[in-house]
Amino acid sequence: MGADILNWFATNVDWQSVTTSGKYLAGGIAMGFGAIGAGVGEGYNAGEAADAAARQPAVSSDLIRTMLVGQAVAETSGIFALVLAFMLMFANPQPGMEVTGAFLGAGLAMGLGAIGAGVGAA
Amino acid sequence: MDIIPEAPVTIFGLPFEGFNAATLYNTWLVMAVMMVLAWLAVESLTLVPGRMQAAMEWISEFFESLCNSTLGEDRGRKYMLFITTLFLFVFLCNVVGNIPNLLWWLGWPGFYCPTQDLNTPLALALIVLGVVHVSAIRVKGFKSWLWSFFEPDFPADKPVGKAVGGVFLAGAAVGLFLLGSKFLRAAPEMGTGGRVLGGGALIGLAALTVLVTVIAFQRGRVPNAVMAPLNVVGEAGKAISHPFRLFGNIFGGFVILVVVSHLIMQIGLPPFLTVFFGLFIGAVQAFVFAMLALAYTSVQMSD
Repeated sequence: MGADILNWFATNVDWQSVTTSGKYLAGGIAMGFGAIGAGVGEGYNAGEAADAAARQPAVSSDLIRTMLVGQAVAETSGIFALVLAFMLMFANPQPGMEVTGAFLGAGLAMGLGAIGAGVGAA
Repeated sequence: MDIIPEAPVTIFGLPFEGFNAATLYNTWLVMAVMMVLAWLAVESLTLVPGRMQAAMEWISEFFESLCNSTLGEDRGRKYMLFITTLFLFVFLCNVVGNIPNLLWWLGWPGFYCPTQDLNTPLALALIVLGVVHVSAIRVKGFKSWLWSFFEPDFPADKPVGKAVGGVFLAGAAVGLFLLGSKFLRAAPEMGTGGRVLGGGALIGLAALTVLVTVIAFQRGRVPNAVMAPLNVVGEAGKAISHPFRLFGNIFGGFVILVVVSHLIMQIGLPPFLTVFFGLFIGAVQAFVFAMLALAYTSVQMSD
């Protein structure tokens, strides 16, 4: 019965479509998880800047400048995930199981890694 | 509209694919615009400035105060020129790709941001990396700069620490030297260039290790050999994330612009998206690029 299942997998699976779907899935995972860190980090940064500006309205332009720089740094990991998603969309490798695994691994790695970097860099 | 530029430009049949025509021509255009702006700004300097002179003075004073507050009064003026040029160049590069194409009926492909191509931000980041480390060597001295990769270091009070540090460094120097000489004498299938480069790099590392040992004896402190690869990777990480931030923002913004404009049939929304992604994000990312270059310089020069 196990041999039948493996046989079915070996003969009936269209590896081209599996690889393509893995590519797009990986792009989605990368950008989806990557946007979490960027959003949380930038929002927290803006909240603290608004708090500080309410306390000292005289230096608010300096605060806004610092806030923009901090937000751009916190957005960096999300941008890395975006560039990875674009590169995955235009990749054309040999279809197979290893390549699908590689795509999914890359997407998961960048997506989950961007959470910490985005939240922490705020 | 294409996302990846075509039509490579080759020079004298050199053995590589060629330059991207769009990046090359648009970089020349940005350079010409910057030179014209500079000439117009200082053409007739008056005590009560006109509008062009006032705008240039505003940018100039902003960056001068920023550099003076970060680097100190004497060095701030020198680096202010470099940082302001970086900001203006990157800002104009980000903006030039959003100028509308009025000659589409002639078949002209239109404007293109030089920063959409990975080469321009990468080249700028390599320049910044060179400036940061060369200025750090110039300010701190070569030995101090080399030692900074091995920090935080340990005090060498106890003889156990000295002995362990000395043995480790001597072993590292000897090992690297032997590896390098083996590399040089390796099988000829590696090619001469690779052998010389690899062997030379390893022997150079052995010489640096000997130099670090000498500095350690001079200062009476034990270098932290575990932190050396971490510090080097940290510097490389800064040099990689610096251009990719700029490239990702501008390239990603352009792709989003093209896709969304195609989805809504170019009705209504594209001008607002162009202003947001072109002007606002372009200005913010140019400012962040220049500010981070300044921050890296000040961090390397301070300790």
